[in-house]
Amino acid sequence: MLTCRDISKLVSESLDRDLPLRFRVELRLHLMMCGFCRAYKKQSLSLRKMLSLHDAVLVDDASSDIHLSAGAGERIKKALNDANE
Amino acid sequence: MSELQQLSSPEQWVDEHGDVLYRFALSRLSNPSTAEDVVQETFLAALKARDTFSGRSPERTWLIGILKHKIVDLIRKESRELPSEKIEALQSESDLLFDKTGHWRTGPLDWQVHPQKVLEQKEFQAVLRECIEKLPERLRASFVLREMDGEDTEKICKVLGVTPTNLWVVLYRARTRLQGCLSKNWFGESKREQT
Repeated sequence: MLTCRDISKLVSESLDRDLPLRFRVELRLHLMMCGFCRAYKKQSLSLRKMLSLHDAVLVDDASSDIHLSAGAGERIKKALNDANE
Repeated sequence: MSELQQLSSPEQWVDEHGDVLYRFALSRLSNPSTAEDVVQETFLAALKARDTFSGRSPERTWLIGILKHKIVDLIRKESRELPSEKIEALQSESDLLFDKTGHWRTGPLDWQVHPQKVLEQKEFQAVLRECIEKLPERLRASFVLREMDGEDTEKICKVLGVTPTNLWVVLYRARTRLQGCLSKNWFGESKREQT
């Protein structure tokens, strides 16, 4: 019998590969009966969804308050100019 | 009219793309000065390779492609320098969460969350950033390559020099830690009203 500990590992692994059929069946059965493991799985899927949106929301966001510092910008421009000569 | 894009000048690259490249690098590497360095290396490499830019994709896409390679190279190099994990340490996540019979000590929180909406909140972005930054290096590297860059098991194993089984354990630890960190610092009891 797989424990919740085992199941949590399977939940994570199922995000990275197709589980062998036997494990897929055990996983599904356990999740039907166990609210705690269902909550863990829900967290995993939410986390994955958030990270899949990460670049669009955080990196590409022109209104972000995270910037290359002015100093770093100048340094890089200078390095580019030096390399261009 | 030509459909090919012309590259802007190197100085313009920094003005137009510097912030985006920096945010991309910072989110993968967590360290501001390392992120600055890799952005600089990217621009320098792009300058050298300027003649290979076909113009068929946007300039930024091309630059991000170079940046991704630089980040992977850096992660590969840093992984080789990490001491190999102690076997006992590999058990720590499970021991904290589960009792001797393998049952949850405390049930995981039910996240009532709309992923896009919560991600758009600046306060949440800061919490997420800090939780990722707190991850031990190998866990963070695996996690960002898998979840931010969408790389598959095979590629990540090659970069980090680990077996697939080892990688799945590492990703399990990373996810479990992150979920715990977010539960504690955002989705916890006192913040139930927030999405």
